[in-house]
Amino acid sequence: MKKFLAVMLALTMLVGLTAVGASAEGGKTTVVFWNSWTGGDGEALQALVTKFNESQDEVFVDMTRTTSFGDMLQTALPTKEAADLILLNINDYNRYDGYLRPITDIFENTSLKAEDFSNAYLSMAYKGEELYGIPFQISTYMMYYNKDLFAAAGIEELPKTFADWTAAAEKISALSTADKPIYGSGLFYCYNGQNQSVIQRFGTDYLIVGDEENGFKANLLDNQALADALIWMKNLYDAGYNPKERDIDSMMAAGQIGVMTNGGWLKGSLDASGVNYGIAKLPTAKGDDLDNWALGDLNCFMMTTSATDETAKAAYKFIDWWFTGSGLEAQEVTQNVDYSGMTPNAEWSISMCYLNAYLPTVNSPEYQAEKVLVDLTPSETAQVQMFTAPGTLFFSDAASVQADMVENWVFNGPVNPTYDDVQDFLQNYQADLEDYIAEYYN
Amino acid sequence: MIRYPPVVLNQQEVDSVTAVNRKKVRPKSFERKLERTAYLFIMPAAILLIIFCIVPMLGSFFVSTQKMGVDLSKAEFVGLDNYTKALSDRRFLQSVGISLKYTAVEVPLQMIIGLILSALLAKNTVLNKLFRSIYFLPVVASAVTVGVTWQLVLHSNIGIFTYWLKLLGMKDANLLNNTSTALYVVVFVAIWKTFGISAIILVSAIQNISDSLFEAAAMDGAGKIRQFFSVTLPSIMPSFWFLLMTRIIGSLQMFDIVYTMTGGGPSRSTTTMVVYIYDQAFNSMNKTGYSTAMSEFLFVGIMAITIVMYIIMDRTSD
Repeated sequence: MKKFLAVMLALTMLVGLTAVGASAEGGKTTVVFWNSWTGGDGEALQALVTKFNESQDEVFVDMTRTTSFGDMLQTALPTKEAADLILLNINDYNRYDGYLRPITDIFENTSLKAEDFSNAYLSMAYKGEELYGIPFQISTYMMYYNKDLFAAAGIEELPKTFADWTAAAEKISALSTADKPIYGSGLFYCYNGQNQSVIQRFGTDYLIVGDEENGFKANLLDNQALADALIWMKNLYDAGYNPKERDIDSMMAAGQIGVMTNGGWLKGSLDASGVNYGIAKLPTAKGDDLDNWALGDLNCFMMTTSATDETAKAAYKFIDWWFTGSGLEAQEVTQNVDYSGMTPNAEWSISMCYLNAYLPTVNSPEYQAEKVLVDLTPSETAQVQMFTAPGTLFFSDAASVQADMVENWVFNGPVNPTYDDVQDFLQNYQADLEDYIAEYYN
Repeated sequence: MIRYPPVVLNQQEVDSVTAVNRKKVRPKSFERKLERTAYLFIMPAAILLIIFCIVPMLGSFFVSTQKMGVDLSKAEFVGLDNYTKALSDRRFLQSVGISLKYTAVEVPLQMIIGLILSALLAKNTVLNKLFRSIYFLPVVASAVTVGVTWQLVLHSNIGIFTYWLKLLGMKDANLLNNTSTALYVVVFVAIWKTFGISAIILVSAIQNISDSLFEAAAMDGAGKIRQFFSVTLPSIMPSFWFLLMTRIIGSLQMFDIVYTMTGGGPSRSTTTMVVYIYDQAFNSMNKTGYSTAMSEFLFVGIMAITIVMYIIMDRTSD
């Protein structure tokens, strides 16, 4: 009897360990979809995926949202056990080069057309003649401001320059009490994207300039605009107008921050918190060139080499639905707004406040009715890329150097810094960038 | 009592006995069979150890000599370049310093707290058993949960601990976002999470001490404290050294609590070696070869400490 039980237990374990085939969900083709959308927007994305799954009988999208997305991808790609479909920042292409599947044939296999996408963004997804991504989200950094705090401080005009930002921060910080600390400015010391979105608007240009043909050059030293940006930032912290805190988002949601920079993913949290907030373009150094900036990240639908031809075609169906299907009905995750009359792509843009690269969506009445999105729409020649030029191999490393540099500056930089202080401080980081130039481009 | 006359051998008999002893004594077939059976029993564990520990370890030496990202097919052999690069990488050297500082603070504190608690909770009373269970609870909690929870407790704005500090007059209390205090906060949380296991192991060691030793000490006039230092401590030394060794190894490999609480910041003040290795391996351009080389340094360092500790343990037990 004991032997029989032992054998049955072993067999049960064996069956349980058996890998599940592609058609797990009642004959549907399963598309494994990974991404790192774990914020407030992730719930909405899950709801949309569920709607797609329920709306047809051919494809089941099995989505996993995780903050360990990068780790999972890196370890699963070499063994072809990664997801079929992923959401990836286009600048991370080089990290996974060789493991991303071209999707150039998507326009032949779906109703989508290349000319319906903004060339400025779609061209970033091409490597040579092959297309590797379809724009999913343009995460442009925006200025979030607390309308009530602005009113209480008597500020009627939104900051258009960084001097305006400091002035507003000073007035709003004066509203602080022992029971409720208030800070006029909400810069993050630890997030390089948010910081670069303001630093680069000082007119710093990329951290590394040049090109492969003429050579690259680290651009930290002798950069007046960068020195101005760092001095401005340090003074905000030292004056007490900006908290030294990683979690600025929750402080904004609690009504303790006057003005901050972040992407569309914050919107859901602020909507849920009930704080009276507004969104506008971030200031610039000069103030009269707000339209020339749309700094942010382009995230694309991409496919990995773990996908088979069958799952690739199934994923195309999902992507096609994303741009042509219908959005969610009114429910909790949509803040009880009915988006069923528009496409999921349009819903995503409008509800999350992300600019859009799909021209039928941009030209739709619903999109055009969103004043914030229309206001945020940049000029045709706006600078959209942060840190380094698109496609450069040292993008991730340069972004890491910037993160180090800003954090070190905030905590260890001198009080009342001068231009010379900045130059002394940046020596090591300039050397770091030069090392990366040599490493990747010999 | 029966006394037996001493056996006296002449030189020839001594030589023949010595010669027999010098010969390699072949085990009998039954003993050989027992040996084979024993090896069979440990073979599954040995195979698992070889497949999941030894082979990856050897593989990692290979990877550390490559310049590579995710794609092994694009790996380029660079010899020891990754190692020389690590030795001149100021961030790596800083992380080594942070790890050593962290270990130097965390391990002694944890051992002392574990020792004191074990002395207080050694007796098997109901109350002691209850306290042992309570102190062990953080050990079984997930490190990520612990990190996130303490991050909220110590939050500069909404943290209850920060609120209490402000009530005590420390208005600028911001423990996690301060380069001077962040590392010590992480040490505190790490000790909070793991002191229970130190206490339990030492309690078990104390309970194995014969009561007769304590009785004899008491008869000689030794008080409780003198008994602790003269009887308890020497008796539990083998467990103590083992615990010390494992705690040092664990401290040098600290990652989860640091990563969830501070991410290595602010300004790399809590970036331990493993946090930096992880950062290089999975962020930036996935420098798999380089991060593996750095992890070899950690491996060698831990191996050296382990050998030294074993030598000390050996000498102490003698």
